[in-house]
Order: sequence, then C-alpha cells, then structure tokens
Amino acid sequence: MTTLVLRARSLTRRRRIHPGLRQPLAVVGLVIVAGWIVVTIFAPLIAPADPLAQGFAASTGPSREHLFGTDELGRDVFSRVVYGARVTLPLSLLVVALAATVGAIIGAVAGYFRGPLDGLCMRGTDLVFAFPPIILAMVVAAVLGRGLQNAAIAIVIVAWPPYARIVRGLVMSVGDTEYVQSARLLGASARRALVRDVLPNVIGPVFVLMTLDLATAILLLSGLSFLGLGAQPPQAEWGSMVADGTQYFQWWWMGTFPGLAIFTVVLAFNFLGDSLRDVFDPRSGVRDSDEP
Amino acid sequence: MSLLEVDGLRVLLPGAGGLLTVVDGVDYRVEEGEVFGVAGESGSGKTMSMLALLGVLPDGATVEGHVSFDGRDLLALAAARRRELAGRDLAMVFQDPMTSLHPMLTIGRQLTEHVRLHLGFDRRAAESRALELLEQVRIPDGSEALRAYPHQFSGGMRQRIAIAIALACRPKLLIADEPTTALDVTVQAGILRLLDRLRRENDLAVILITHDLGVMSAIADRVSIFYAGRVVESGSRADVLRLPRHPYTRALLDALPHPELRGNQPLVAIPGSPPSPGNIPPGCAFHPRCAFARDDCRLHVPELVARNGRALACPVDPFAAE
Amino acid sequence: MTALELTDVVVDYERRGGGRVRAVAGASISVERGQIVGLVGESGCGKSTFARAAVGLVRMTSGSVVFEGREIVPLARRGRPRDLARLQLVFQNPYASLNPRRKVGSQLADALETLDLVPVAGRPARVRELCELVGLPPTAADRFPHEFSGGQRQRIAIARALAADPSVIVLDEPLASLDASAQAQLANLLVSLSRELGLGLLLISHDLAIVHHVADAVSVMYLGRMVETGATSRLWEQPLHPYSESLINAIPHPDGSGFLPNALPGEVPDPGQPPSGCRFHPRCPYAFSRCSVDEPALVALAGGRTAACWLQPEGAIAASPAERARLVAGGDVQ
Repeated sequence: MTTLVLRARSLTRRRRIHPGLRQPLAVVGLVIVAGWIVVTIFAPLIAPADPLAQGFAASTGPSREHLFGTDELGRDVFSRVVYGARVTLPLSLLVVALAATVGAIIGAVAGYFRGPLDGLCMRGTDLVFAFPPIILAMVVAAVLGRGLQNAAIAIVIVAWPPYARIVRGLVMSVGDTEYVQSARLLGASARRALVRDVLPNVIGPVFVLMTLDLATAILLLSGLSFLGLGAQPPQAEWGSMVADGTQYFQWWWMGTFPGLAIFTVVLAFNFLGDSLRDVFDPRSGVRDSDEP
Repeated sequence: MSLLEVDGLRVLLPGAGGLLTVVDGVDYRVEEGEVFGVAGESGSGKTMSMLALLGVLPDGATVEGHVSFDGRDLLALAAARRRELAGRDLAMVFQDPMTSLHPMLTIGRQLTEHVRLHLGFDRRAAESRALELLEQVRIPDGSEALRAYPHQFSGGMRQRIAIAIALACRPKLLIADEPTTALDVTVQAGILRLLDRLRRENDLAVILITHDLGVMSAIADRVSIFYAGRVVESGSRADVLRLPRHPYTRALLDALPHPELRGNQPLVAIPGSPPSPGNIPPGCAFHPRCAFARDDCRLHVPELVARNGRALACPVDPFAAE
Repeated sequence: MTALELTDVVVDYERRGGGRVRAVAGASISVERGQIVGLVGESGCGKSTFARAAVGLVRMTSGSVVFEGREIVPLARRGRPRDLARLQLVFQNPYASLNPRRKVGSQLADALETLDLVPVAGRPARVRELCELVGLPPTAADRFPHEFSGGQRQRIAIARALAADPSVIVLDEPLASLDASAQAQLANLLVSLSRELGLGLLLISHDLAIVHHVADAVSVMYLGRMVETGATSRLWEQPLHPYSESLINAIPHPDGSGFLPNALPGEVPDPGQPPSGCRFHPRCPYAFSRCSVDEPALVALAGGRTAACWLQPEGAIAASPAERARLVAGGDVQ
C-alpha cells in the first residue's frame, strides 16, 4: 500500500495554552468572575459585619473600618455588597440555566418535528420578542407579586426565546448536513443522530449565549430590584442598593459601590463569553479546502 | 525585454507558528501575446505568486524579489499606483464567477465601471464599449444582458462576463486562475476556445493557472510546473508535456487518465500528497515522493537551471537521455 | 442476482419561488456485485439526485429501486431498515461529510454500533482494520477530520461506508474535490476494493476520462434521462449518441499537442423547461426534423449497448452518429 504522510495539523495548533485563554480580555474576565465566586462562597469570612445590622454611625464615608462607608440606616455598605453577591450571582446563574434548558428543549422540539409544532413554538418566541425585555419582566413580576423568586421567574420567561431560536436553527441546519445524512444511512435513527451528531454542535453556541446572557440576567435582576419588584428591604441586593443610592446622591458611596459591583461582573461575563465563542468554533484555524 | 519578468519572487504569509513561505524564489518570463501556463497542485504557491503581482495578498504578507511589468518595477510601486496599473494593464479572472461578480449590480454596471474609472469614458462611450465586449465573448442579446444580474446567467456565461470585465480596459496581461475548473467539460472547451481567440485578436498575454495539464496543453505556448512554492520545470508546451524531464512532471502526467490508454489499467499514483507550506521537506521538496531521489536531494535545494529555452530544477535529471 | 436495480426513476422537487422541476425524468441503471458502473453527466443532468434516490435519501415520484431483491423505502424518522445497510453512499465533499467534532474512530464505529455487527470488545480492532483497508494508518482513528487532507478524508468516508459491510456503494463524485495525486490514488483504491471485496460500485462523475479507467460499464445522462449505456471501452472508442460523442471530444489531451477540444454550442437547458422532442436536439450537430417533435426512447442495440437517438434504430449494429447521419441524408432511415 502507499505510504501516506499524515499532514501535520495546520497552522494554529502548536500551542499549549488553551486558545480561549490566550486573549488577555478573557483572562481578565476569568479572574474577575473567579474573584466574585470566592467572595460569594466566603462571604461570612470576608464581610466584617452583618449586612442587616444597623448599629454603625449612619451615612459615613469610606474609611478604614467601613471600606465602602455606611448607609442611611447605619449598615456597613461593604458587607452588604459582599452579601449581595450571594444573591445576585447564584440567582442569575440559576435563571440563565433554567432559561437555557427551557429554551433549548422548545427549540429542539420545534427543529426536530417541524410542521405545526414548529409553528406553535415559534409564535411563542415571537410573542416574547414583541416586548422589550425589561418591560415584560416588569409586567410579569408585578403580576406575580414582589419578591426575588417572582423576579427570577419573570426573567426566565423573558430569556428563553433566544435559546429556542438558536437550538431550532442548529437542529434544522445540522440535521441537513451530509455527516448527519451519512449517519442516517448507516442505520442511525433520527433521534440517535440528533444526540450523537447534532447536540455536540449545539452545546457550544448555547454555552456562549449563556455566558453573555448572565450579564443581561444580572442587569434585569438588579433592574427589577431597583424598581422595587425584586429583592425587598432589608435584603442586601445590588440593584435595590443602587436604587436607595439614587435617593441619597450626596452620600455617593451608597449607590456607587454596588453599581461598580454590577459593572465588573457584567463586564467580566461579556469578556468571557466573547472568547468562549472562539473556543467553541471548530473551524478556527481549520481549512475548508485544499487550495492555498 | 519581456512583458513580465519575475526574479526570485518570495511570498511569506503569517501563520500561528511564524511566517510561512508559500512562494520560495520563483523565476519566469512572459512575453507579449503568449499564453504562459502555470501548473501545480494545492500548496504549490501558484495562486499566491499571482496575487503578489496584483498586490492583493492577505494582511501581513511579505513579498520579496523583483518583478518588472512593461518595464516598470511592480513591487516598488505605491499601492495606489499599483491599483491603477492593476485595473488597466493587468487583469485577473478567477475560478468561481459566482463570487467574483458582484451579485447586486447589473452586468452593465460592472462592465462600465472599469472603463469609466480607469479610462474616463462617459456613460455612452462606456456602454458601447460594454456591448462590444459582450459581443467579443459571445454573449447573445447584449443590450438585454446589460440590464441583467449575474444570477440570471449560467456558470459558463458568467465566466465569459468575468473575462469581458477583465478585458474592458484592454490590458496587456490577463491572469486567469483556474478559469474553467468549476465548469463542465463541454463548457470548458468553449471558454478555452474563447481565450485562444481573444488573445490572438487583442495581442493579449495570458498567464493560465491550472492544475489540469490537459487544459494547459490546449492553449498554452510555454508552461511552468510549480511544486511547493518553487518552479521545478519550464519550457515550451510540447517539450514539457511530451518529454517531461522533472520526476514530478512525469509522475503528474502518468497519474492522469489518458484518452489513448487502455482502460482498466491502474493509474500510476504518486505516493503521498503535496506538502503544505508549513511542512516543506528539506532540500528538494519533492524528494520524499520521488522514485529517483538520491542522498543529496535531501540536502540541497535544486537550482533551476535554464538551457535552450528549457529550465529544470533536478540535478538527477533521470530522463535526460530520451 | 442484480444487486441494485433502478427502473424508470422519476424525481421531482419544489423549486424556491414555486414550480416543480423534474430533476430525473425516467432513468434506469443496474449494478451487479463486483461490478463498477459509471454514471456520467454534466451539471443539470440530475445524476446527484438520482444517486440520492438510489439510497433513499430523496423521495421518488415514481419508479422503483430494488436492492438485493427488496424494494427500498425513503428515509423516515425511524432508523433505516437493517437490510438496507448494505447499500451505502459516499458524498462528494469530504469536508462536509464528516462531523468535525467527533473523532474519526468514533464515526467509523457508527455502523458497528447501530448494526451490532461486531461485539463491543472487537470494535477498536475492526476500526483499525477499516483504516488499513483504505490505506490509512491505524492511528487515524484517534484524530479529528480536520487533521487530514481532502484525499484522506475521502478515504475515511469510504471506510465508514465499508463498516456497514456493504454489497453496493454509491459514490457521488468522490474524486471531484481532489488533487490529481489524490484522484489517482483513490481511483485505484476503489478498483481494488471492488475486486477484493466483491463490491458493486455506482460511480457518479462528470469526468469521463477517470470513469473510463475505473468502470466496467457506463451510462451517460443528459437532462434527467439516460442517453447511452454500454461497456466502457466500447463506448469510449465509438460513442453512439451525439452527446456522448461531444462529451468525449470536449476532453482536453495533456500530451502537449495543442489539441483544442471542441465545444458544444448553447447551454444545458433549464430542467424545468426541457426542449420538445429529444432533449438534446437544440445542441445536436446531427439533429433532423423528427428530433424536435418526438422524444426517442432508450433502445437496445447490438452488442449489449443502448442509445436514445433517432439515428440509432433498435437492434442496429454499432455505427457512429456521423455514419448514421450520412445514411439519413441518403434517405435510408426515416
């Protein structure tokens, strides 16, 4: 038989660092997120005071005892920001995971069965897309009643359609590819082809969307709390803290630090999401033909 | 002095591991009015070397060497000057007419754009030139065609239109990169005949890039064979294709199904595959696949030696006696 | 027993913007075990659609496909019936027919798993065997498709089809996207696989020269119908249909002689609006009055050949279109 020289992996492979982490922004994002996760887990150890304790001197600026100052009720802002992470981060992660799951299932069903079922699902997404997200979330949260739980539900309802769209599109397009057709010819049922060939191609884009969506979820959650529909006093939550801060502009530290917390987390997830997109693209660095 | 003189042309492209040499010291001449064929497989650098002439290489590419076109040093020209030259005296036709024609502009617009830009024609003059060009490439119903869009034509007709656009400013040199590869063989024959006629009528020089030696044999006057970014053999069409001297040329011809050969004989396949730019073997790039390789083939890059109108880059020269 | 037999297959499809197009307008072909049959045609002739109909990827409007005595059914949501697994298809584009995210070995094992051909323990060995069968090193199984060249990927695609232990493989332009080196290697591989494993191959190609080297019998297709069939060498030496003749005359010769191949005037017509009478008549150098009125059927000629041309009457001995045309002009044939 002929001797064949297996072409050495083309241009971009001689790297030891994971491709996603090569971009500096991604590293920054990862560090920030990791930092906040640490804060979330070790909140009781990091926060010097009970976030609900009102015993300190009210409305004092940042100092050595109170890094972020105190609010109008004498609570330590730093501790409230730290404990606020415990609300915002896990809840937004949960919300995004739920939205992704619900959306992906609906999208997969629509793409797999097509026909009238597809039409029904897509009209559902259209319905949600017709409204600006914050407005719709507000309406749902208002209908369900105040509270963090209802705010979360509202956000899930607002967030699922993009996942449905993406997954449906991928299921339909990947389903038409020649490698899926080959699998079918070899005897795979449509369902098996879906799991083995289609799903792996779906996970990447969904994951990227989830990472970027986390930023949106955090903003929505904070927004709802800001409007009084999410976290209720006296709970320490970044959005409601910013809301309080707007009432006391002269005591700038009350709203600014929670606002900065939101800002850093959202930015970090955006950086991460952008670089994840490159990681999950199998085509980066891969040639589509033999022509130079 | 030849119309086009290329000496020591090197093109380097950025890759993740550093710079890759895709064209590694290429020399050739193209005379006025002749068809010069450039043959090679993937990774041979044939397309990149032409893009270097036009100045349309990807970002970060480096070009070295000397190129003289119509007496002018092409590589030394500023980008704007070169673009001017490229649109007017140098033209290029690509493989896929679907992507080289603008899908949203009418044929008329695409044909007249060039002459108005480079030669300053007014609208009427440009349109009559456009009709003239369509007639030259045998597109029927010229005035209808001017108002039509590319997708309304078949592949063969689109390629004719692409050729017409290329000829709009009466260039001296036309570079055709695999112009018939995407076409059916019966349509290909039509395009080859068209190119042959056009170059005679317009005293046009053509560089014909192709991997298909049959296509080259149909209209090329002289031929050069590229392998891994270097020229391995060149000479007149009859010499190179009837009496190939380089083992690669010989192997390439043997691998083709010849109409005259009896069927059901296995094709003589060349073992292995052409190297990609990052993995060129040391010494003679062809030596791992060559049946005649000697020890020093691995050590020294063979020089292209020219003699009697033929050039060969093979010190072994196994077929010299024939 | 004929392994694969397609009879009077008709395939319509909906065109974007309305209207049905008859891509295949009644075409037949048969493939025996161990036989390589070539199907040659240019763009718009419907050969790819025909290939897909042969394996059930596309629904036929009418006609029948019989594989090993069993009528095939188009793919439905369930898995394909087991006894059809021995009929496989290799696609044209080796860059699209392999899943970029799965290792080669995993894709080769697909058939082994779904069809339960080999016990779990024996699968890795069988995968290695398949790699060697197509001339790839056994380590190929642990790599991803993008690590291979076009020619190698096509070998992987063939190995995947071989995993199902097929008796007939349909190959849709398997050589089209490849270099000359890879084409020759792959053509030789196909011939040796057919001989060693007794495989029937239906090789679809636009390249008559390669088909001439590889196939035992060839059918020529134009605008949805077969226009000529016969043993490859005979057809090559003496084509009986004007289109086959034009096709052969259009092939360039790489011999340095400067032979400029002959072009066929006109364009392939839109399959949605085929010409009246004989589909080829507007471009045929020998067309006469009857050709624009009646469509000639594919008739049997002497020597096991067939042709669909009014110049070739049924049962006639082989004579080129030019000779027949002279007879027509001389008033011998109506």
